[in-house]
Amino acid sequence: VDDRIAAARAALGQELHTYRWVVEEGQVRQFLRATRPDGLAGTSSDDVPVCFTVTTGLWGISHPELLEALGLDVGRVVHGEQRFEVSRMLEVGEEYIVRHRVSDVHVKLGRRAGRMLVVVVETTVEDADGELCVRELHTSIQTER
Amino acid sequence: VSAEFHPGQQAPVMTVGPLRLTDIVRYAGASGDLNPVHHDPDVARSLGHPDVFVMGMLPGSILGAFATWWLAPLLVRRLDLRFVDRVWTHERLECSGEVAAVQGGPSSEVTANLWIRAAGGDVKVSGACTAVLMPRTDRPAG
Repeated sequence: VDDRIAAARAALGQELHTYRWVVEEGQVRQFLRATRPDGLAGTSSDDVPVCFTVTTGLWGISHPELLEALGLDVGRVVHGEQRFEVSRMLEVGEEYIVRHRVSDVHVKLGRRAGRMLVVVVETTVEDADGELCVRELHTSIQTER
Repeated sequence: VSAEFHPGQQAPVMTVGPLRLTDIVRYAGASGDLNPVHHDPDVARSLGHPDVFVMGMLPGSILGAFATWWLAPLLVRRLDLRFVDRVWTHERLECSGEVAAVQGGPSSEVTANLWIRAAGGDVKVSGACTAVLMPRTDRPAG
């Protein structure tokens, strides 16, 4: 785990990947179908869902691949928390720039799990003018055992 | 804005699931989350799990959709999710929430707590969101 901590810390603050992302109508529909319960079908607007930025990996790098590149053992990683901050609604058909970077690395002591490595990856989505639209924080926890 | 919210207001309880393997696979395809621990029982067992389990962001995204529906016409501009416990493919779930605070006049900013729990059981995903009146787009209509 010490090697993993060192590897993750070395990546702290670095921009890991930057790529172009287009919000496609078909992909939004597919995501809605997968995540909108039957009880809500037809009641919600057709706005891009608040959690839709989790799909950016389909254009760039998936989250497991990102964690692997940081030296984590993906099979023993749990997803602890996730945050979405929307400053501007995404629009179908629009093109954006996605950036991933490691925003926090720390060690936590769990009562049962022992020492845990906590890695927070920040994803930002900017429009063509460079204006921030969505910021997403994905917290992964890697246990020692 | 016609909808008004007040602190302590409860969201209706919405039942969800069970989220079966097909739902997991559909979400995996839609999101790009192809971690095999969620769709390949052999991999899940080799890692010490009794079976595959639902990726947290599936109930997490359902909670996001629920909040969007419940708090409309306000728009959810911040959503915090905490994955408390695993969701298994046989579990029936319940989704709900409660308004924690209202600021800036009649419902111009609402903060709410959200949760998905096993029906009649423990919380699986807890969350909080802030919803506001905000322009959907800067572009002129039409």
